[in-house]
Amino acid sequence: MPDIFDSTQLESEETKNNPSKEEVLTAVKEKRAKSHEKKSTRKAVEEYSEVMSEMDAETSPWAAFAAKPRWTAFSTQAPDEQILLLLRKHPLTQVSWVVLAIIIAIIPIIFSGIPFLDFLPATYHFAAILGWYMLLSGYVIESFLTWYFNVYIITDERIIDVDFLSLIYQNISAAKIDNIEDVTATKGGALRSVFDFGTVQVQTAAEKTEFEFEDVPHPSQVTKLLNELMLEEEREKIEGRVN
Amino acid sequence: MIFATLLELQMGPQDSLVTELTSSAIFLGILKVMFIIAALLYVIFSFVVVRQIALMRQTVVTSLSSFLQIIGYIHLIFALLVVVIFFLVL
Repeated sequence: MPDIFDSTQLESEETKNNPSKEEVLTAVKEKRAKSHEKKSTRKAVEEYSEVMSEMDAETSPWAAFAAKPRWTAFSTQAPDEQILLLLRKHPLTQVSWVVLAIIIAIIPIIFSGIPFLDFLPATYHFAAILGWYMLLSGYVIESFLTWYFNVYIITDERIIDVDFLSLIYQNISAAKIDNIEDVTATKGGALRSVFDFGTVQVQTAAEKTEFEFEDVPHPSQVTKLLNELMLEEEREKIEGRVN
Repeated sequence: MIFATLLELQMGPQDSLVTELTSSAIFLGILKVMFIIAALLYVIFSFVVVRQIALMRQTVVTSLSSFLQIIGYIHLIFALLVVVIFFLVL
């Protein structure tokens, strides 16, 4: 009988293409076991990082330098990925808009003695002041949000740069620790030296070739942590613990 | 006080014309419309802020996220109240 009419062969091919329920379950179990194995072979960050072993978990949601931050996550975080460091711009870099907001707030009080709007009825005075403070509230909220949500995240696997440049523009870049080629910390100026903040530049072999953690606190600590993570990745590769 | 006295001293016949013009119903009407349009534009802005906070808290989750969302809503309510106040008061 020619092969084309061999029904047993057809059946075996069908089984190959559509695996049975048991086969699927076995595959899932194997995958889970592998994932568990990976987790168990991965070292705790405190074991290989001096920076992390010296720091306690940060509980304040305002911190500009938050090591192992609690109750914090990000949208593209993998289930077994741990946030090691969350960075924002140093609070001192925000002083300019805070001072400007205070000046804007006291302008109506300062100019209340000068009758340059006296040609208008009192209700229009009230409306102008209300509008003024409404614009101020918008400015303060927008400036705060820009500072609070523009973060740099270092996990045990990746570095992530979250940028909200304007009201509607969002940019999230990430690079694996393996792809980091060079890390440089720059601290220029008296203010940066006294208050220990500066810029950390990370050169990568990823799609985005340069990450810039602008005006972050303790840049030398950040550089040290990144170097420790890079070394651990190398060790993982050598010891065959690569995910 | 000093500025007010100086202004009073400098007032002449031209100034009384300006006062008449600015206190006219047409001028105040135009001003009212301008105030309301500005307030309505601000409502759109504060609505965008609410959406932006929602997007931001989806991207980076912190313990402060829900508080910021509430601030965004309060800001939107404030903007809507200002429109209502402008309609009623002006």
